[in-house]
Amino acid sequence: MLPVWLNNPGLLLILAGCVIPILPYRLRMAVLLGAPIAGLAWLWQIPLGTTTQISLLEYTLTPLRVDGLAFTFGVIFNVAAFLSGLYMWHTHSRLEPAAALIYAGSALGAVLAGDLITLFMFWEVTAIASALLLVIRGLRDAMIVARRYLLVQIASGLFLMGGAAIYIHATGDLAFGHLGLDAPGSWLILLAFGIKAAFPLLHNWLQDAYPSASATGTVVLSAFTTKMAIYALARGYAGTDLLVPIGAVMTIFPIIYAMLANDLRRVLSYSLNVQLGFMVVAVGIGTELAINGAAAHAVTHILYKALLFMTIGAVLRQTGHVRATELGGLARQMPWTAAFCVIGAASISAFPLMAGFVSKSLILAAVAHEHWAGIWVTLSAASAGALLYVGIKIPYFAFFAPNDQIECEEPPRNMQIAMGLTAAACILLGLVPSLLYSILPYPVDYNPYTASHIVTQLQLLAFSALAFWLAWRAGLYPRPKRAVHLDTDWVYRMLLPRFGYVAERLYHASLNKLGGGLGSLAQTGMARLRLRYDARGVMSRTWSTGWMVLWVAILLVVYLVMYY
Amino acid sequence: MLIERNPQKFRRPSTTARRRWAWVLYIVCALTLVPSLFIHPHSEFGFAEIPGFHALLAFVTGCVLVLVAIVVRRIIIRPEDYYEHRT
Repeated sequence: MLPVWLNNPGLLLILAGCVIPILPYRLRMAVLLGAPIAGLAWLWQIPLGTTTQISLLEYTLTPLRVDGLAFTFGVIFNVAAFLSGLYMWHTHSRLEPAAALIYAGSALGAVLAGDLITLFMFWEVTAIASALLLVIRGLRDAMIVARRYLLVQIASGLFLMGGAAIYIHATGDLAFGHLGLDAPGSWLILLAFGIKAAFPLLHNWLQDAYPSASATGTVVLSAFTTKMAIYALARGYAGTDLLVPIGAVMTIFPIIYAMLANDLRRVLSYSLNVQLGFMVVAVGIGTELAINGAAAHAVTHILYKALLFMTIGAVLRQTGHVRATELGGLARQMPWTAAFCVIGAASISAFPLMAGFVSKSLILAAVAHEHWAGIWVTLSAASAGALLYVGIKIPYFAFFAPNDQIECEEPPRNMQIAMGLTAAACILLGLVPSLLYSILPYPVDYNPYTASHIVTQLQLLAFSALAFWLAWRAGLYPRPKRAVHLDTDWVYRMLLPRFGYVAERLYHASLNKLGGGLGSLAQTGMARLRLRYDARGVMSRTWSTGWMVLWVAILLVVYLVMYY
Repeated sequence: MLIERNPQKFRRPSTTARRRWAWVLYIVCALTLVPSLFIHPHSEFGFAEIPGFHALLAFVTGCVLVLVAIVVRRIIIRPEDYYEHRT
């Protein structure tokens, strides 16, 4: 029998990650692939509703809680860990697979955590392990980015700790269940979740960090942190109306950035943000259908986003380029990768028969069911826009744009297999949605393949392609440019350092002035003091004892008189 | 790796090919509109049941997004080495 604190599939992955660096290559890879499979099998056989408890000091922790919501996210986290492990099979790095497994394991642990303290601990481990994935690359730029990334992630952890402390102090309850906005400390916890879920204005760590990781590292990064935050929101804030407009904003504004961005992995990072918006809206609606939609979308989204990051990572590895201005024309040289990329792009654009279609329509149905007309139109528009900023853009600029300057071949076999499996999963979930619906938190009574739904979706896709084509032909669609497009990271990369610079200058200037002033003040002060106290000063004259006695007597007389 | 121009590799498609693909797109767009004359979608919202509503929504969204992107780019674009020249 395992000790209670070890009885957790997340810890299995973390421990596997810890031993990986000391193993020889083949064993390392066996552990890298075996641990997620074992974790999945373990999770699968735990009956829903299981919790384990241990007492620590005067508190009772719940390190393991498996219910419907945790199960869905746990399953997809294990699958994502396996696929990304397969994708990095060819790397001989010791640290990258270790960091990836620890990261996946801590995300899994956070999802399975039943109390706020356990959640906080795993929350912090994800931050550190994922930052490690950025640091491993060893590039100077990546180090700077990793520092910024870690600051943001740790800030999120601190807010969670503060909020949890207030909540536990006020209620005496450790359990991580539904919080809502009225619970004590819950705004701080919402802020912590919001940072990791990339809420608008808190989002920019994502587009800053993900394009800076290695080709394999980005695939791992894209799967866990943000979806862990979506899980936490769904657990703590389901049905919070505030999240609906926040999510709606998230589905629209990153589209513009995705259209402008040149680095294809940055394009994908912005589109990741858009998809998170869909899930946040669903969490804000909070009905069973909506939570199902959020969880289903998290599952499919992890798959197709990982697939897109994998194909672009393969392009980066094979050509050394990842920017649209340098790429193009790879379809003949990397036909398989191109095909997988098209499948991923079709999935994210929610083509019927693809994974994105069956999950996105759950969310839209939930929104329509609760009669949020404006939000429904916004989400429909955003899903039409998907074709513009990623569905056409990514495959076109990487594989089909005219460019005869690049010579390369297909990526290593393991990358192709990983991409093939992920693409197959995208198609399988699209063809057999019941497979996806069977692992969702609540029973699903929904059929995405009705005639009218297919027709309206095809209209949506065809006409947004038409808009793209007409804009392209007219020369209006923004062409990729080698440039920086300002986002909120401007605040902490430019504005705050400038403030810091100005403050530093002011400090030095004032120090000079003030220092001069103080100096002269000190000099005059010393002169005065010397006048009284130096060798010839009033206070250091030698007086005879008689005079002293006389003065003391006079003082005593004065006291006496004053008393009377 | 960069190499000399290789005529075997991917080049800009010819104008006729582009025109042909454009026609395919127009025809597909028209075809998606046909069934909505016969199938009446059952939506929670009245406006979504208008035939071709989704087509219109997608087209308008596409155009608006492109126009907004053009304007936004003017405002937020900076040189590539912008962050390397900080004070």
